[in-house]
Amino acid sequence: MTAYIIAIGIIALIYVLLALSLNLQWGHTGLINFGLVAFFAIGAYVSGVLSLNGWPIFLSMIVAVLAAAAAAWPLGKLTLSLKEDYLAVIAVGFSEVVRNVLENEAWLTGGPSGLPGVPRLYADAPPAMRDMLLFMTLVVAVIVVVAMMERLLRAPFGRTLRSVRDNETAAAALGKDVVSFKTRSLVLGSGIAGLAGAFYAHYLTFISPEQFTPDVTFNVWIAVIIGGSGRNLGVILGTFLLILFLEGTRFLNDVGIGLDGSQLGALRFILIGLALVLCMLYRPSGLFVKQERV
Amino acid sequence: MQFTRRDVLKAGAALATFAVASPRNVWAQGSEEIRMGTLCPITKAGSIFGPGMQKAMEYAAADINALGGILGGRKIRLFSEDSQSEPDAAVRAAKKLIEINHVETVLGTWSSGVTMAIAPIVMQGKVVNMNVSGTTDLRDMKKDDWIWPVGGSNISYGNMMGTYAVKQGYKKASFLAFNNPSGLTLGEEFKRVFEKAGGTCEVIVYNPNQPSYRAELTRALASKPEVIALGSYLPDTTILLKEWYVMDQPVKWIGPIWAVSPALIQAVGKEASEGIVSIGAVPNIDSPAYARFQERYEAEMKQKVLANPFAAVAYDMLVTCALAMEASGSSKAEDFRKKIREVSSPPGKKVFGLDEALKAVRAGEKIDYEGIGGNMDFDETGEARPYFASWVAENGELVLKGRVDG
Amino acid sequence: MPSLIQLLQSVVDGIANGAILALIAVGLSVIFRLNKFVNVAHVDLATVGAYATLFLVSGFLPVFWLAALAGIAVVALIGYLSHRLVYRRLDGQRSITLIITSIGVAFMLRYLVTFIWGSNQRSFDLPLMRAVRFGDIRISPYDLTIVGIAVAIFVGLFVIMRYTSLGRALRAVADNPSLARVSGLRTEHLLTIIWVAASALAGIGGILLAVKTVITPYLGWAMLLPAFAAMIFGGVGSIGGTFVAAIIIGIVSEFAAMYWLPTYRLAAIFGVIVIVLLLRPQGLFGTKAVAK
Repeated sequence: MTAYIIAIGIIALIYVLLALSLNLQWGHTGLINFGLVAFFAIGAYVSGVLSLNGWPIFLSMIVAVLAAAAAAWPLGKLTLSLKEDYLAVIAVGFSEVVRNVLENEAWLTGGPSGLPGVPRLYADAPPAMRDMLLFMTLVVAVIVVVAMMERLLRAPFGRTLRSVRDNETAAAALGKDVVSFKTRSLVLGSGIAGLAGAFYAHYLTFISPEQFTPDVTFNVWIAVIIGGSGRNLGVILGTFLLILFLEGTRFLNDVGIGLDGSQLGALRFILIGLALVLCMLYRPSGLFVKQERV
Repeated sequence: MQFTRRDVLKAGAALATFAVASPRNVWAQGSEEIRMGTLCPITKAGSIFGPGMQKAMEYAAADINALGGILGGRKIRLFSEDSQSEPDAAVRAAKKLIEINHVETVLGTWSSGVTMAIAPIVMQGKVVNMNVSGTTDLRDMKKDDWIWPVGGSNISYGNMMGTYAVKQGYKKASFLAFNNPSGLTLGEEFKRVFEKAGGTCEVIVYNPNQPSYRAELTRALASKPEVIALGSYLPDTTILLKEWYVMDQPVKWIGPIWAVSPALIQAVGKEASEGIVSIGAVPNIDSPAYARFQERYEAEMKQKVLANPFAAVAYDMLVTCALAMEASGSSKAEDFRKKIREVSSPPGKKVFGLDEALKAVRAGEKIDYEGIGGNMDFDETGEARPYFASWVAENGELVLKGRVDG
Repeated sequence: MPSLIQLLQSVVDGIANGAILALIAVGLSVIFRLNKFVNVAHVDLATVGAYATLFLVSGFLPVFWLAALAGIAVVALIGYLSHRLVYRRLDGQRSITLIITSIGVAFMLRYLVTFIWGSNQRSFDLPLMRAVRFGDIRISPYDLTIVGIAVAIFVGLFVIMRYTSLGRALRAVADNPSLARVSGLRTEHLLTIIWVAASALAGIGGILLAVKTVITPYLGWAMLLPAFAAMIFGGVGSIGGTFVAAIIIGIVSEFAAMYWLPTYRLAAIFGVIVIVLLLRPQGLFGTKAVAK
């Protein structure tokens, strides 16, 4: 039982890192980044490939974070200077192109077959302890990221981000280089997403392009919006709620509602969709924050 | 914008309720029952196959229980989860089955990504997995009698298709490969076999979920091949054939049975499918057990058994595990995995029916269970090499032509 | 070097795909312009159209084109309901709220269809036909019909928008809803018409796509990214722009598959989009000032 909860907890914390990344980009800067999974994937693959080639995991993960952050820069430069807010749509195209490349360049990434045997974190520890250690490491990572974000967001950088989010024209009129701030937010957030990806690779030990579809991005968005963007604690709770819901509906099987397998599977997703719609209709600011007047 | 203490308490209460209401051993009624888990692709990519596979395993469990159960009257209880054809979700599902439902098996994974992702968990959790994944990574993996690929690997499919093409005397071929391990490996192996025999083969890789494959098809036909071989799935094969019919350029077709199935013929019609060859792991068509399964399955699932080649094999998975349990005297995976080969592979008395098999095992006989879906003969690495056969579509029906030996 | 005939053939093949894309993308584009959000559920309306037609043609209305018309009506109704019951209530909310809502609606539509019909593929029971030849160029009769229908629809839309009072009113609402309201136009009524029309077009696209390919719950969803691309490329809100953009995308995709790598179709599409946007940020036919 505990092992199951820890397993869910590990995935939840990885998603929390993604949610924090999105919170920075969307919650504080107003960027509709629908390409989040691209940086998750880059983090996972860079760390995976390097560690499979003998690099120590710690180092691979650091490089993974830097790679993910660096990859955000061209995306930002490209889309943030456009007049229209096309970031949302181009970003999702970007993430699919990244996945395309991962599938096609098999010499580097293993192609569609993926990369099996990625070294685990804490490989030397006894199996029972491994997941627990990873869980605790992730908790520490989340705390560090939150602390870092809080500092940044209280500082002038954070205030500028929020002013850009709330009124871009005014911020520009005040002389702020809006594109530069947005890009920085994108890059920083993507680095955090890359960190999440690295953890993911070293936990599952098997990664393949099919795990990095826009579905992941949508899940994180749902967690952030339902939790209440802008507040780190809100998005953390939102993530846990999302995971709980995704896992909880699984237990419908055991209760045996009398539908066959595929109908039950479909029903789960219908309920998830309904929950989303209801949440947006009645608590659009998120469940864990006070409702704003928009 | 703050959130109040009340909000936090509310959230905390919700989370706590979830945690507490989470199933404990509420369902662990009686140590008598034997818990077996199934993890099939009920939704998303593999959803054509998953529900049928799960249903087949439900049949198997029901059949065994109807005969009085195993190990002195103990009944089998199934816990079924949806892998969603995705490694991520499958890992969580497998953990749930192992840690919460305390199953001895996680049977029926289909997607190679899923099987690869749950492999470490299965081995760590000391449960048996039988799967229909085709990836060659499974062949190379040290499975230690925990993991059993049953469906016929991608390499063997490619090999069989290539062998067939060579036997037909073709010298020029094209291969259309779905961009995933299955399609790509089928293509590589087909090409290898075909070219070794002196022919030429060009492989064209394509992505799924497109409204048209006209360009891919044109490329495949550009070299004027005698035959186009496929490493594909049903939807794309349907579209390919429809577009080929439009183009009206003569060529022969060979494909794997999960794609070139009765469902394909139904979708494209007799004319477009006439003469297409299907290669696949052959069920034991002559066995009365197969006939009974077919009748039941097709009535309930409204899907032909041939359209879901993995369903029959899934039945065998569960039966094999049960027979191994009976033979080893224990329901624990750690114990019965050692007996899996013994009950299902030669040498031994060949048995085809469940009743007969159970009786023989209880009598201490060494048997070779020949499943309804395949022969379940495992080699030393734990992989089953099914028999392969070819079918040809004639006037809207798939007609079995005979064994293909590689 | 590919011959001229081969190039022309690729163009012809691309046009048919582009035509279907245009029908689906135009509604997406107009809704984005009007309501300022990307309605992710829009493509799933195409799926619903195909399944509704399948349902009708297998039972109540065995004549295909009648069933198709009824299927389109069903989709229009669903579009109307989602507008009235859901999206309209969220008027004024930030776009992300609407996007997430539309994700929810998309799930509900897609998995309702899966719940009822399962995930096994279905097809319409229509006869297969050989290609018609114009010299060395082959065109499937179905493709000809599809392009014909799409062209007719777009010409019709163009005529309505340009030359009728309804069209003028619709354009006024699209350009500046508050001004339109103030100047006495029945804005709500017109907005509803736009929603219903957009949904119907998606339904038509879905049915045509199903005729050409197969019916699965993912029929529409697979068109999401190309529809996005067409929307941006053509200029958000521009009907003619979306049409042209979709056709170009269809052709680019075909060229990429023929002369580069089939697995890079999507990358090619986005590559072209990016280049165009760098040169002309408002897309082919978009107007410069659109709200963020």
